[in-house]
Amino acid sequence: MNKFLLGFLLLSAGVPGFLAVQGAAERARAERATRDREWRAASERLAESDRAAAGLRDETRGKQKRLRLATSGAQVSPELLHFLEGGTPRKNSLAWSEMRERLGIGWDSSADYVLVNKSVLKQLHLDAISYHVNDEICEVLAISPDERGKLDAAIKDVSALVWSHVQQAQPSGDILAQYTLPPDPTLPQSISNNFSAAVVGTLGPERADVFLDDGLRSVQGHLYPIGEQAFTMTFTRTEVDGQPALNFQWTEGDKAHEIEVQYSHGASSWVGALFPGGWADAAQRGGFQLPQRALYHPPNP
Amino acid sequence: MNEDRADFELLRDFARNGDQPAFSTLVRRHLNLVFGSAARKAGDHGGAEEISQNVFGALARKAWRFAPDDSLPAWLHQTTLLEAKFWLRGELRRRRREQTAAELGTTMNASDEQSALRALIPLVDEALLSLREKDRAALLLRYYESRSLREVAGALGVREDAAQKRVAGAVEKVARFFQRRGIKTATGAIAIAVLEQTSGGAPAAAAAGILRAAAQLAPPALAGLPALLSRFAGLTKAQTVAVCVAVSAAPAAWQWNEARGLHQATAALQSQQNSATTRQAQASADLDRMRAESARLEDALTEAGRAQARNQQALQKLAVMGARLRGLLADPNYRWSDELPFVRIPKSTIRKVAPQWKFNFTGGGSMTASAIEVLGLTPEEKAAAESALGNYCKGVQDLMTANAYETNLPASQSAAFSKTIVVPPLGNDLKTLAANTGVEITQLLGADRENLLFGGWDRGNIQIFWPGNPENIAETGQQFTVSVKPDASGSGEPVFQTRWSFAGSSTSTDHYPGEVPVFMADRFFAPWVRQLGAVNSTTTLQP
Repeated sequence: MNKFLLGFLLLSAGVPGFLAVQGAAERARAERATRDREWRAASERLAESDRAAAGLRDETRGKQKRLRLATSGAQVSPELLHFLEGGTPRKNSLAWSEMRERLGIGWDSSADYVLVNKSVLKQLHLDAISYHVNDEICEVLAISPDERGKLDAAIKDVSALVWSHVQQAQPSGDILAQYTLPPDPTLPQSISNNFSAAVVGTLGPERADVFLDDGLRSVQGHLYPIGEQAFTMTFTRTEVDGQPALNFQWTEGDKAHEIEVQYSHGASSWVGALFPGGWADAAQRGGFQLPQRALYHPPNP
Repeated sequence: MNEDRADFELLRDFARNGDQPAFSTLVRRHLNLVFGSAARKAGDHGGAEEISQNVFGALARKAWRFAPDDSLPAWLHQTTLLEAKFWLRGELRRRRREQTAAELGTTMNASDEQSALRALIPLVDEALLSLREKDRAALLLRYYESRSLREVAGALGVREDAAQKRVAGAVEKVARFFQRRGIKTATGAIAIAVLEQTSGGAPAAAAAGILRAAAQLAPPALAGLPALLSRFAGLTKAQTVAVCVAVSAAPAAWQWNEARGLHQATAALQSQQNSATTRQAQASADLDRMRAESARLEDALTEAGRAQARNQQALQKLAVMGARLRGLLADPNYRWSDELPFVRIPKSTIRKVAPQWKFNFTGGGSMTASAIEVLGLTPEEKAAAESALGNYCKGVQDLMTANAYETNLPASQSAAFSKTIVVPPLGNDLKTLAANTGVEITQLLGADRENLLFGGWDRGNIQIFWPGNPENIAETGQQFTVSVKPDASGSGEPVFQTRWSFAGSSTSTDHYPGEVPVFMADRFFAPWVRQLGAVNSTTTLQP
């Protein structure tokens, strides 16, 4: 019996240990189950990510291919595109060269003409006016004969406006004619306004802008002696080598210049502007006759 | 042969195999012990014989319970006492006890020593029962079965001297038991005497009867749980402990092993999960990156689609415009169009409206925008022409630099210092360079445009100083002079005058390098000017 009791006691004593180990095993089992669930979930997420990545990879490749296709082919440069969409290209833009190249229009496209971008017209050497409208600017700006007539008339109008300000003195002694253009700050502005209005009205704003770039300078400063001081022109009778002669003197402030009226003695451009017909025109306006010396050659200032 | 075998072996053979001779040997071996003890309790031989038969019957039934380390004499003694107790409870108990009391009272009066011994006899079995089993077994073997000390040692599984000490110790314990029960005079010797006094063999007739009865006994047939229990009972205590420990530890070990396996599996899972988590983080980052890339591509595609549409529209407009522009070139009634960016210009007017001296190229060979336009250059033509013009300008500079030399011409009267560099006519070297450049440009642009762009220059002319008339420096020499008046203005700054002379005419300015080309100034005048102390004159020294 003692052995049975001993056995019972030993077995009983083993129970707590067994229960403890069994509890640990249960906890380990639960931990393993938890880990297993978490691992499966993580694996599922990973698989999901892999599937999503594969999908995105395919999508990206497709987009890259479409992008290559979309960006291949002839692309217009940003500058030319800007212009074709209504913008204004910057100065000296190469868009025009590109446009000519794309259109296949170049020097050899025409035997007689070349296409030039409007933006460089002002950079060309365009003398608009030489008493009359010049031939070159008429060709560049496609000025028709009718338009050219109107422009010439506008030039004459300027001359008339200037003459309307000129004060003519009565002949006295050897002074055959004397004209004084008093200083008038409003005259240049009047000339500019009148002439610009006439040009714009004739050519339109775009061509007028090119035309006036040189033309306005001509009518304001180069053609007419309009300054801050009075300008006086005097024709005086004189003799040279015992022959009747005619002197032309012009003064501006205290500066005076004098020449003999001869064919070879051309005066400044304003002489031609004021007297478009030359010395003969001046004589006619002054009511005197030119001496023989002045008629030796046709006057052509 | 059975005589030499241990009690356990005999019992095992009897219990497992029904070995009757083995059981008879056991009965004979312990008959005196059992009978003697029964006789002490029962008081007569008939009762003792009956009790003995009951004891051996119980032994036969319970033979399977014994283990090698169990003491059979101790068990037999205890069982005998128990059986005797049962027997005495029977109907004869009263009479037997009275008779025994009467007999005891009679014998105790015989003498004091005999009286003391008789008083102790009823306590003998109680004293034996108070001993530990091994001590009791030692005394039972030694005194009730009359074994030698060697035999006792063999039965107990110890050495002889140990058996002797155990016997002596047990005797002393019996003596002390007697003393505790009021027999103060009890000693070891008295205890031995009592033990010897109470030992007694069974009469031959009784022994024969018991042996015959024992020969009829058979071990119980055991199966199932009893058989298992019999096996368990047959284990020693150490074996029992080992079995129980094994039995109780096995499930725990199994559970422990399982838990360990689970921990390992969990760790493996944790490792896999960590790996999966790491890969997931990487995959998430990749996904984010790919999503961003996809979004960027989507935007780019949208933008490309818009750009493509814009491009298509632009190309359509361009085509329309191209048709109109071609029309302009061929239109006999050409009119200015405000809608088109181009105008047509007669080629015959180009030399007037775009003269070389104003509209061709700079000193480095770069073409002006107006030249590009009036010559109708494509980007490729422009690049090629500029390269040719650049090489020409560089060649002229190199020739001038290579041929230039300093003269000893005196300084002008007003200048303290003066230096003159003469560049002789560059001759055929320049003419060849110019001609080659003209040919190259002709091949690029054709003769007409070459003439407009480079006409005249291809004979060795160059225009460096004043626009209008290219100078033929291939045939005419040049002279560059720099004069310096130190502190002429009183401001501490030197005053420079530079002069270029060519073919009897000259042009001059009052600053440096002025009329001296930069490459000439760098090569010939800059060190000299520095020597004059004008190095700090940043306002005038700007080559």
